[in-house]
Amino acid sequence: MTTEKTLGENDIIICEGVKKWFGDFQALKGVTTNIKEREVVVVIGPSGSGKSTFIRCINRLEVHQEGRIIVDGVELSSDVRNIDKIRSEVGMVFQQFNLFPHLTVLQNVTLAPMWVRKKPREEAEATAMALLERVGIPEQAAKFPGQLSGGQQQRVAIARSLAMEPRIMLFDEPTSALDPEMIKEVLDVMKELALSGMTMIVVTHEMGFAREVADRVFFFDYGTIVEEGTPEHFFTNPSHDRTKLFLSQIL
Amino acid sequence: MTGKIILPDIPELEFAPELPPKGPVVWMKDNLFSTPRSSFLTVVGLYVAYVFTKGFTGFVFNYAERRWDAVTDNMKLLMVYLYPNGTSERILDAAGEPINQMHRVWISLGVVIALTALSLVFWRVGGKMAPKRITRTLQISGGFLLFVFLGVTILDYVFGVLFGFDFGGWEWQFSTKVHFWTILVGVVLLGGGLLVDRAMGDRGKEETISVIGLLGALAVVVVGLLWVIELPRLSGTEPGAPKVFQPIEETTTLPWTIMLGVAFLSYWVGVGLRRVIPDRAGTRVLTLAWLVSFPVLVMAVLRDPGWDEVVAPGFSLGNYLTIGAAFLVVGGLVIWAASHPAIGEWSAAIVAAIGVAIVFSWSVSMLMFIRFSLFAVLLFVLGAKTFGGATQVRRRYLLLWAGLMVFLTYFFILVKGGNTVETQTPSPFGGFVLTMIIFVSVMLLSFPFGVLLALGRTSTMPIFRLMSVAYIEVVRGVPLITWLIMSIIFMPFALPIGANVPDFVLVILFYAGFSAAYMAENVRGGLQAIRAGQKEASVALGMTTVQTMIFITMPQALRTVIPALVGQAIATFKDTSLVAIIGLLDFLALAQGTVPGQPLYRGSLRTMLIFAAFFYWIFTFSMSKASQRLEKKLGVGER
Ligand SMILES: Nc1ncnc2c1ncn2[C@@H]1O[C@H](COP(=O)(O)OP(=O)(O)O)[C@@H](O)[C@H]1O
Ligand SMILES: [Mg+2]
Repeated sequence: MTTEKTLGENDIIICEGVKKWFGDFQALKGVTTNIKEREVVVVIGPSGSGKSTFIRCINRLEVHQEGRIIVDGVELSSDVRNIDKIRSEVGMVFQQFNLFPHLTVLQNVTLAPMWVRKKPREEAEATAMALLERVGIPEQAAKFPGQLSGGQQQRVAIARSLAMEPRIMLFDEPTSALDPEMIKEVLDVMKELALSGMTMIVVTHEMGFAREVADRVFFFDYGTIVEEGTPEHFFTNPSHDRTKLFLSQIL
Repeated sequence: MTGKIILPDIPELEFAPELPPKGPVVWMKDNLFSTPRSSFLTVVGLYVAYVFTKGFTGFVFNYAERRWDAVTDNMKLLMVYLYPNGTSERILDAAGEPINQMHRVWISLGVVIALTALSLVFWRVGGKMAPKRITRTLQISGGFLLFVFLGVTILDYVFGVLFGFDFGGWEWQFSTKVHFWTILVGVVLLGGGLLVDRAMGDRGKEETISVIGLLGALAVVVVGLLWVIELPRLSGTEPGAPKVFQPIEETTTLPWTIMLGVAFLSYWVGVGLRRVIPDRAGTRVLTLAWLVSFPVLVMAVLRDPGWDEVVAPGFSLGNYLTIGAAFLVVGGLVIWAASHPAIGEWSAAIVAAIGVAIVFSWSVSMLMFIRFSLFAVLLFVLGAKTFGGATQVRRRYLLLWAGLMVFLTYFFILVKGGNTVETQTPSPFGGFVLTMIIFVSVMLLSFPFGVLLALGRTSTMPIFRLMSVAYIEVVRGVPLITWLIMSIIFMPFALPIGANVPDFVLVILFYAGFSAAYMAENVRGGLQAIRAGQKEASVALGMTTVQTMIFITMPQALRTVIPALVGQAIATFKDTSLVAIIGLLDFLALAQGTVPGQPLYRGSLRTMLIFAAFFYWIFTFSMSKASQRLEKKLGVGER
């Protein structure tokens, strides 16, 4: 598959020696990497290797203790105003969807634009409907999340993040909680998003997706990036033994 | 031969086999006498039911000393105590006689009824009910009547004549006529219910009857009965005077008929309005109307405040209006500035300045109105980052401020005005009106306070957590009665000199503080039940901690604790009766003290207590039913 998009000049995310401990347990052992604008990075690796912790550090759902993370030119620090700004620039999609069960689909999507971006309701609703159209479920707008299938819920979650017009999207195993027949509908939305030029970091074990849209693949193990490269590199001649072992287990 | 695979036909859907309907004998065998042990329990249960029913119905309907006339004669007293006895010259007529003020009570009730009817429409309460539920109710009432009047008579005969036991009970000798008619009614209800059930078959299970319609019909029947029924009254002013049957007075029947009209009219107006007003706007306006109606009804309609020298010495209406206007304008400017997106560090400076002003206002002699208005400004400035922003949003925020300030001014003018409607009690109110005022005020005050305490207790800031825990543990560790007594014994010393706060207000404040501690624990339970992912998803969208709390965590937490909160509301309602201990004449105090204390109604205590219990039960039972419906309705949003 050839993509028309060109990566940006600038590094939109810069990580330098990011370390993170949970109590005595070190979950990240010095992650260093730069991610360009419009780049799509797929993160793979065994369970417990720190993939989630890594992307959660990028929107500061987790606080790293050492090293530097610079997102869109702003360094993540304990300064509160930076955090709110970064979070509204960085969208996140969770494995468990985390839709707000007491709000309708439309309210889920319009809430943050109205209260964080301070958009008038009419404008927020128009944007929301356009986004629900884009992810293919405009007819579900008035329903509650509990009335939707898993695949539809995850697409709403994506629309909810997109409504904030983020510059970066983080996906933490977005299809792992889905029944097999629903995985494709979510991946299709993500592919379309990738082709549209969104900067994305995707934790996933969907190798087809990685092969098709990833610009780069990170292999995480023991809290650090063990190997990185293009999808071709990974699927033809991975260099590390641990990478080979992992790929042989999941492919 | 082609290699064609022949698929088997998809099998037809089959219905589960229908069980033959069970007759009552089979049902009894399956449910009541299935094993020796269950037979034994059934017999014991029947025996207990027999003893209690005999004693209770005997007392209610047949005991010579029952005094239902004490209830009906004193109904007004029980509801409003000596309400209309005005002492101010404002409510004396030309001849110097007090003008009857009961219309104020009826107007208040009418407003509540109208709001209820409109709310039923806009929240779409009601829905349909299966006829089977009604026929089942008829059958049960018929069965009960038969058990009482046939069953008890037979059991009496069996125990008494055959075995020589006499279980006593209150004069269980109804006349043959009463027996005949009651048994007939029982047979008609039971048999009719069964027949209708049988005739309707499966259609009886379809939900076709409108609940609201049914309630409306019931209300019409009850109000209609007021006009035709005759109640026993004492014929003279002597305690032992014989009773005569008299129709209910027009001062009762006429207002209730008007109330019925108000209910129907409001309902139909609501139905019409819903065609032109969207539900969301309607429910919002109604919520606001409910919140505002309570203080306005209590402070303005029932009290009829006056501002002249006689009833409110030293009060100056002009002062309050000026202060209110000043706060509206100056406060508005400050809030307008604070909600500007580029306010930055200046916001903290404004907050600090107002903080200093508040501390100052409490340390010198100052009108309560100013102190509270300063608090309101602070709240709005603090909320500016969360609720302000774009110009359109800021304008709406400012409008909200103006609304609040108008209401605050109005409220303080009402509070400071004197009562022109007074009674000779420690509080301006008594009877069931006082019970309701205490109950609603306590719930309204303890809810926000309880939520704040819950937030404090779950806060990451140790100082808030410590203060909340200390408050909750101390308050819950001391009996409510102790707090109530303390409220009037100690509080007057703690109040600023000259602050003349009525007892019932002190009681309400203490009771609300007590209730808030329990409220906090309930809400905390709800907060803990929310998955961490909800908060994460919200902050990941850029929402602030406060926004996350208001839009995501709190609504979900409150939903999950509705049963607990309703339980608490019911407990609060019942425990309002404790105020009798400190001399407030609430509903129960009148029913168990005042009414039986009158020479004319001596000996009516037992009757009054049964009535009081029944009266409380009607309200608590409605509350628990309403909460069940609410739970079901809100359940839609959950998995
Ligand atoms: N909140 C936490 N507290 C303690 N340990 C944690 C926490 N979150 C993650 N961990 C630990 O950090 C390690 C990395 O977790 P995670 O980033 O979720 O891995 P992955 O997403 O790759 O499966 C795991 O061993 C996990 O147990
Ligand atoms: Mg993970």
